[in-house]
Amino acid sequence: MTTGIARHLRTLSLVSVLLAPVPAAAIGGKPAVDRDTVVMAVSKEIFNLDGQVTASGDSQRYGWQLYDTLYALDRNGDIVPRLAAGMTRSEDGLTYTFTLRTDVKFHNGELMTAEDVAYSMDRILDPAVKSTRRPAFAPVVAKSEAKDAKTVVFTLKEPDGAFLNKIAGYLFIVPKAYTQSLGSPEAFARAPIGTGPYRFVEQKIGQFVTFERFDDYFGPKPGIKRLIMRLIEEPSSRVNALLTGEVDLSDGIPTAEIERLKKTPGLTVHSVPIGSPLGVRLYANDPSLPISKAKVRLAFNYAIDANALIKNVLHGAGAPLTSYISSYYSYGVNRDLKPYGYNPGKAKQLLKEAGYPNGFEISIYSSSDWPKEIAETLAAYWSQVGVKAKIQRIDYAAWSRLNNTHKSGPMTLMQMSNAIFDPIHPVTGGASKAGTWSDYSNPEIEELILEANKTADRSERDRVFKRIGAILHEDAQAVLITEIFYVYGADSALDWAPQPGIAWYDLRTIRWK
Amino acid sequence: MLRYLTLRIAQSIVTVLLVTMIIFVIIRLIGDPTHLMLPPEATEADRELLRQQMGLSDPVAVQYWRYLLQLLHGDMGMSYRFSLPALDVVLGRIGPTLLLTCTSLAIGILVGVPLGVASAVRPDGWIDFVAKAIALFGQAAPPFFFGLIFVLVFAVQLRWLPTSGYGGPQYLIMPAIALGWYSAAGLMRLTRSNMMEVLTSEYVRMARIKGVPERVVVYKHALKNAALPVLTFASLQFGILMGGAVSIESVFAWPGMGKLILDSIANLDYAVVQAAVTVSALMFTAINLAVDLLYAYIDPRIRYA
Amino acid sequence: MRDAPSPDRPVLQRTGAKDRTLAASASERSSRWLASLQIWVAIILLAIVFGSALLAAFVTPYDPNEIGLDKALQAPSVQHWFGTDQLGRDVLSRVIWGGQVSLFLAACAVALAGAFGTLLGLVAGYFGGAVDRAVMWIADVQFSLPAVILALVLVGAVGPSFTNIVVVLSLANWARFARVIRSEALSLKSRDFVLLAKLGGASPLRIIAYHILPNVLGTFIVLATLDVGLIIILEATLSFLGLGVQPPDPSWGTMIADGRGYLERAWWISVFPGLALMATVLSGNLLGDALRDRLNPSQRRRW
Repeated sequence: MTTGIARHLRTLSLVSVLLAPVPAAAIGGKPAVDRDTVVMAVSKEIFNLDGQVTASGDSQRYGWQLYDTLYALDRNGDIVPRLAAGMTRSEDGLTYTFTLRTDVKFHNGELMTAEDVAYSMDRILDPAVKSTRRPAFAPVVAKSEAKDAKTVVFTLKEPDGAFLNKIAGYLFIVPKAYTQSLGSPEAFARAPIGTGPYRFVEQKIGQFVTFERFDDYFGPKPGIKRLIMRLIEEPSSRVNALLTGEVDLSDGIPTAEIERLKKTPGLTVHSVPIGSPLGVRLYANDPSLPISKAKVRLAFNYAIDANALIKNVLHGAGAPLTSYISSYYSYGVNRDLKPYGYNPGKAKQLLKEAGYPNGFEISIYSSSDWPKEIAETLAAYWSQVGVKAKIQRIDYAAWSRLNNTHKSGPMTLMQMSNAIFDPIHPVTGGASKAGTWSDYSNPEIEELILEANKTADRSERDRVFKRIGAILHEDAQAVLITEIFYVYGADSALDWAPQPGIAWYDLRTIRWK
Repeated sequence: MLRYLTLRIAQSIVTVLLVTMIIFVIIRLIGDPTHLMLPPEATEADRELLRQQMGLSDPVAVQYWRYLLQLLHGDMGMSYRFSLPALDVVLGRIGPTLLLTCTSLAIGILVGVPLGVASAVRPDGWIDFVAKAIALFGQAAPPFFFGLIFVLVFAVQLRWLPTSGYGGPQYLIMPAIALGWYSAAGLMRLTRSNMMEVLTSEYVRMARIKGVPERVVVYKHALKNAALPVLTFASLQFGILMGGAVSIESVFAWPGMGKLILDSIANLDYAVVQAAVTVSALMFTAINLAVDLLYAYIDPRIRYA
Repeated sequence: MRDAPSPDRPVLQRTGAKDRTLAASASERSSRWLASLQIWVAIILLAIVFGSALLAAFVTPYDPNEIGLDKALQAPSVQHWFGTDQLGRDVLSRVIWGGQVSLFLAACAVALAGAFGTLLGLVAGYFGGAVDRAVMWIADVQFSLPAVILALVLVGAVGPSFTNIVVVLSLANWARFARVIRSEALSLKSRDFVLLAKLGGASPLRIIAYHILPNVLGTFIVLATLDVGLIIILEATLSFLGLGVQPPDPSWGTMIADGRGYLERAWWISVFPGLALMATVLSGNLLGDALRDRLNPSQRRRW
């Protein structure tokens, strides 16, 4: 009977139209506008493009095309000079002296000097500017000053082993004279100026942002004249726009569409890890909760089949985690660790040993940003070892407020973005006593964090973070799900590949083949 | 008449104020934007500083009073997301929203009213049956469902129209039909029942007995009488369309007010939520007021009802 | 105040139809037949939907929330009549359980909105004057806040649980009841039997409860029937915006919304709940219209 129903339904014209393969007339080397332009569909509203102020990580990523930093991450994951020619660090780790390039121009034609760099730091520290980067620098930076036209000195209050990483991740350089000439900090957001390969042309809120190539850029220039970011928030609409060739490139492709887009002639799918773990934050500090016991936490990990989840729910756009430190950091990754693996028998055994032979009830938060299926799958796996997890899916803003104030317990789905290219970020943020996103504490980890803060030496930090990774793995501070991948769909005639390992949108050298 | 007019206008202003007050309080209950504006490394002191800068540490009553005072100067505060005055952000969305709403309403009226008339002339006949089927179908599914299917058929498969976006008339067709269908359904049902009632009234029977041609009876006498409640419904529909367009705006990436309000709530962009609700309540109330006055003018009895 | 004056002579539509032409009689038989066919189809469809939703625990072939990643996205087959979804769950079972959730939610919301709106409408219509103006004013405030927007703000404030969604949807819908019932009460209160009761010394409460309320019940039922459809659609819209009932429990709205990314490869995930929703809303509206036309022709004009 049912096959009959299906057959009849297929004969309905609407359904047959839906099932027909998509005509691929407008993609594969036929740009949406012309060969001097790339139209990119973006999934998140572009707030404002003041890279020091904008409150959304997404807007930071989009707006990054306008700015440069003194040091930056290269495609191998190494921190290399960008606006700086070189850098020295004093013996006590309190003084950083940067020598600047002398050929760097701002979009308004002015030459970049040490004054601008010192001012950029001061601007972040000024509370009136409401910079989102202020909390990263205010506790450590004592002062910033321009020694001469091409030398800038930052003096720290205390050693910060990740200071150079913060410089590379957070300190976008803006022109002093121009910025000061504006009436208010907000005015800069409406006409932002940086040193990046693109200059800002126009923003229509809710619709698009247009960038133009900056012809006086000191480094390799983009192969296109115009970059248009079009806001399309509905995932299926982004896919449709890509299929019809209305956009040349799109971020946020639903993982369920990867296979189909790969098979579509003229389209390419880029799926890259961004160095961020997706896990379940556990409120392990609360002794009344079963998850305060390491055995229960381990059982939660053994009970889930991360590989099956990555294959079937994320359609391959993921990789199993071995610890809370993503494997895509260029150092600090303990390669000896193996993923927990799927072992429901062991999970049941561990629960029994922990005193929960019949399981228990618990709840898990998920923000509306994550596909519902992830939480549903986790709950289904846990139910097989006797743990009944109730899902509470709430709006991202509401969740974020709870999650930033230790109120998202007893468990929540959470990612830790790679923001400054150093594992200190997920470790202090998600696994230390003082972490905003941590409800786990371990004296051993605290010791190691102090050790890491004291040294900027990469091999030292590598050793410390490997040790931290091993401890976190053993103690299961979180339920590890997957490495997060960004999935882009692109016209295959575009010469472009996303930067792996971080969440930046690097469109700096994009061109048509 | 003048007394009625002043009374209604005063009433409308208080209505708008009430609406803004409700929103003002509720949005503050949802949460505090400083958690979204600062990175997680921020301390409580950082957040408190920001709260003071934004005037959020004062009691809600004080904040509302300040808001009203600023409102008198046309200032609705700054959007923290866009670093723009909230009113500017909202005004940028009014054009697209009015375009979509008015077009959908026009489609609703152009389809719903004639269908309603045709089916009322022959109730339970075949035309009635078909008209009802078309109309009821439009009200039987959420507009976004039709929107998604339209895109797949007319944009992805047939390539007649762009999948989404805002621009020329080609961008307007699908979202307007997806939304308009929904109002067409309601308008058809209302026109039909009104027409049926008028057609069976003494007044129309007298006209028929006097030998007035059926066409004139239907279109001149009956339709005129049936039009008033339809007008009311259409004005209410306007409000529903403005708010209910959220899912359609989402599917078609249409830069309308609904989506703006939704996103501003999600991001706790207080100033924009307040400005958007104030502006849309003002528009809605103005339209209702106009309809009321029109009524009062046409039929003075209504004033005292 | 915005409602048109009600006609003072209730006329049955049939008389008018008969008057028109003699030739109408043949087509009238067929149209009567068609009309009753519509109603019967509506009743049967509603019976199926409500029946299976009520008996969901007995008629569903599978646990609606049981996932099987290895059998995801299967087309309709003998084992899974409506196919499986992206997590390998049985779509038929989810449609049935989703019906229970959606219908129960709609029923609760309509009952709440109806009770609240009717109460206010009765009070406003009976007492008139300042009470009336105040109530209609509050109704105006509600009308100026589009239902979806109000729902968004409220669900955003309190979180999307079943109860919250019910409360929010009724807050967004009570004013329609209040308006219609008010104008009914307004015209009823000057009728002879009410005046007589008043002369007999009955308290306002008694008059409202024993003389007016029974006379507006028909209207209430019709309004409620029509409102169920509206609420189901609103719930679907909320789900689309990510504010629907909590996973893994299905509702038709969440199923349609969650399946939208699969329309091309696995249309059955959202099309079947979509069809169930359409059949229900369509039947509800057909039935509501028919009830309205037959029970209470003189009141048609108000909605």
